[in-house]
Amino acid sequence: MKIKPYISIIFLFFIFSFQATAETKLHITTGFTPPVSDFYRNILKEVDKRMPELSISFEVLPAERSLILSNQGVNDGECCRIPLIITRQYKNLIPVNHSFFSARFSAFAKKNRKPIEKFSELKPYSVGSVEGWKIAVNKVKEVEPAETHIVTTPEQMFQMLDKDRIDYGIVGYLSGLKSISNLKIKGIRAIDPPLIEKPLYIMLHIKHKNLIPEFNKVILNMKNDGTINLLYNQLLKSL
Amino acid sequence: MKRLKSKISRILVIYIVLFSSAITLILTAIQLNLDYKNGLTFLQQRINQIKLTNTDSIKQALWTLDNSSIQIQLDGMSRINDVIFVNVTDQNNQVIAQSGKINTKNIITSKITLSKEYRGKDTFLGTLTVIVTKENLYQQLIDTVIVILISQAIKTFLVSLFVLIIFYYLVTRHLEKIARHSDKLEISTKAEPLVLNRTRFHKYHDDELKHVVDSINRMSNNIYESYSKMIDNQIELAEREAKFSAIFDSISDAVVIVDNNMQIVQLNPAFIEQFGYTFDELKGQTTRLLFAHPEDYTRHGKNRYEPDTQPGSRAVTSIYNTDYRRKDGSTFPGETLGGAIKLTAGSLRGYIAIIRDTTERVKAKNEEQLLQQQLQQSQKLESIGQLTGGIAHDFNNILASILGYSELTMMQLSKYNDKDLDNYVEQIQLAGERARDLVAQMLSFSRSTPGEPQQVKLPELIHEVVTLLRPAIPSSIKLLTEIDEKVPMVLMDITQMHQVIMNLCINARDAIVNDGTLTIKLSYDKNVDSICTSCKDILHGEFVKLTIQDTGSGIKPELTDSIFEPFMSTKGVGKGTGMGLSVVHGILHKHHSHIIVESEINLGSSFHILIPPFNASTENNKPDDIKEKITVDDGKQKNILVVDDEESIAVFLKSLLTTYNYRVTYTTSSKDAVKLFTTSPNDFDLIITDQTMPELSGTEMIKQIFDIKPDIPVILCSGYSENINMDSALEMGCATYLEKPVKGKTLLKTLHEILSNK
Repeated sequence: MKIKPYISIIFLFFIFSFQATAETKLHITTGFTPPVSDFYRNILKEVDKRMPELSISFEVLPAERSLILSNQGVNDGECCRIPLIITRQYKNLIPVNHSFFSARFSAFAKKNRKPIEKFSELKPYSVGSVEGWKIAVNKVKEVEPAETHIVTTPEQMFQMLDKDRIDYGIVGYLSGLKSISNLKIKGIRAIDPPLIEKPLYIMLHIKHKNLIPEFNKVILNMKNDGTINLLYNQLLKSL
Repeated sequence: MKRLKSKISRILVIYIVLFSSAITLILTAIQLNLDYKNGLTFLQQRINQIKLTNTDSIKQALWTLDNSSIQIQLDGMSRINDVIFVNVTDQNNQVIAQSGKINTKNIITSKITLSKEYRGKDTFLGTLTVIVTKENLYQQLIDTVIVILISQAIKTFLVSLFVLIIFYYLVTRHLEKIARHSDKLEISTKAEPLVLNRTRFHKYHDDELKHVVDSINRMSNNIYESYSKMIDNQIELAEREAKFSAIFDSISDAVVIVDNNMQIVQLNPAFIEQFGYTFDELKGQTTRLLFAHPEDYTRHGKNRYEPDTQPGSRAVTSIYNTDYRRKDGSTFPGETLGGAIKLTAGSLRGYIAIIRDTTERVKAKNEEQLLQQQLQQSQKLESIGQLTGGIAHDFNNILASILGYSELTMMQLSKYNDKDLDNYVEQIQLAGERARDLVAQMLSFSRSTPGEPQQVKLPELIHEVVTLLRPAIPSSIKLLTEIDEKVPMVLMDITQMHQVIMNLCINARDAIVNDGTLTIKLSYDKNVDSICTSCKDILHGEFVKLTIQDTGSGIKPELTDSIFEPFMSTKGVGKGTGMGLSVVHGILHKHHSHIIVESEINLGSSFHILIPPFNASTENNKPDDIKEKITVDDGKQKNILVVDDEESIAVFLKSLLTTYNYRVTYTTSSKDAVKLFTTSPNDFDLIITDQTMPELSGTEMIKQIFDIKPDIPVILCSGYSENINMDSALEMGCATYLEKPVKGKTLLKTLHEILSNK
């Protein structure tokens, strides 16, 4: 039977139109806790808006579990990591080219403490850090300060700092601020500049490699149009 | 204790121990198996408990990758009993945390998959491995085994000891007593009943021991009774065997037993004696050589008793006669009774033949024929004798009247002196006397008692007879004598012997037709073996032999048996009475003597008289005692009662006695005579009575007379009676006995003697 040309055209039209209208669902997780995770949720909401062909969902998971699941392909991506470190273990993750946020590990201390600029200056002091903050913990351990206390939560660390059980506490900058705010502790400050500042990138599972350019484009646009700064500032105001 | 160590007790204990041990082992094994399963279940429950208690927290820690928390939890788990090792591996099977160490192979490994539902899917997080040791379980099992075995060993020991004691008390000691009792049992002795020393409860309890005791007692009694019966049977068997042997050996006939192959297996002594063979000579042989004619073996022996070898033949057991041959070659006629020997079951064991030597029987049969002839002859002579006796009685009565009245006539005629009448009456009297002599000869033949025997020297008697005989022998006949003067004396009535010789010589004379020789021989034959021609008796032993031999015409053989019958005569009519030889027969046999006749036609006859020699120790007769001396005297008016049914005789006696001055009362009825005598017994001095009368016989009447007057003299007279003679008359009380016809003078003499002696 000879198929007429116009029927074939109609058939192909339906196929392509269906493909054009179908959404790609992406489930992106993070190992960060609030308030950073809240900032990421807001960023990815904006990305989702700007990438109509995508439907991005977001979830907070334990840090390692988030990486593992994304690397396994259970989830579609992780937000956000330092690619150089991560890709050595999680080879299925590839980064987006443009970063919109940097990881800052700051030293917190009471206001009367001398500001420090690098980890080696911590050596004569009693230093605390939090499990899960691997970079900070590893750096502290490398320094081998007079006392090292690795606690489970930032709140623990700030309470110890408040009671002078430690001299310096090393944790993420936003997390530290959040915990101080939550504990309503007075007289503790974040020493500026941070001891470490590393740009972070959205990591997608390799199966979504084709989405990298689109993500680059959207993030770059959000940087350029000030959306990212806006959202970051809103975060800071909440702390 | 020694008894407790009895074999059966040991065996019982061993069995109890073995059985108990086996049961213990089996139960222990079952117990261990159950404990082991329970232990495993417990361990599994422990693992499950760990799973329920710790899995969620480990999952959560694993989800959050909180390794320290996992380690803490694992350390806690490893301190749980039986848990020796736990670890958690991640999704890449990399160990995240572990606690404890594996130091045994007896472990149970349980791997628990740790996963979390994430976004609607089970997400594998890792694996919790829990290893529990079974060492504790094994140790518990070992402890359990030890406890069970020790407790069971103690229990087994106690139970065995208890059973041993109970068994000894209830069984073993009784068994020993039964054994001791059984040891004492003797088959030949009646045993005392076995009684066990049991408690009152068990004594009357109907249990196995009681059954055993009852059985042993019954068995003992049965054995004893059986043994006794067996002994009795053996004795009876031995007696039977002895009896059989005795019977077998004592059988006077020859007995031979052959087996199924017709071979001789047993002989009795009579056989050996009869045939002259020893048993060894005949053992295993057939009886063929015993037959005088070998074909008789097949005809009588083999075919009769060996049916299988002759199709169609049958075993015949009837008696057969055949001739047999002894070892020395002599033969004899034999009567054989044969038969098959069968056991009660019917199986054939052989054959028996009883052989009787019939030589004597054949001879005896011949003798029997002679005896039969003798019997017939005796019966014939006896019947003739009885007939003759009956006739003689009547004749005597008649002659008594003739002679009596002729005697009275003679007395009366003497008054008239008429010689003619005297001669007539004398002729009547002579004829009557000849008739009386004839009757006397007839009675001599028929009477069973001899006359008056006395010792007789036969040579003398023969000489007298020859002297008397010679005138009666014609000159043409030569009379010879061959007398052995030394022959023993014989016991004979000399008158009758005289008559015998005279009769035989007269017969010899009459047998010689013209001329010839008459020879009288007398000898003593010490070895007589012959048969009496007249009575057919078989004669053996010593006899005085008197032979009257003539060369006359001889006697026909068919007449030999009848010449001694009365009135048998070969002489012409009127030449002989026919009583000669019958008188000779009667006289001789009443003197235990016999006669043998040998005769050949035309050659002559010989009459051999065989007289037993006199034995002085058995007989002592005196000839002089019997001589009569008759004296006639006056009757002196003695009253005589005469009883005779023949009125003529009674009247004659009355006439005779009245003539001689006797008073006579006569009657022809013996009953009337008794009445007369009863009326006046003292009126009568003497009674003369006949024997043979109607109503009451003479003897019956005399008995009644004697009841009235025992001492009344009675003269009993009889013409002929077998029941009465002188001895019997005297025995019953009579004064004397007279034979009819009684001479008047004899009666008168007798009356005179009796009355004069009264």
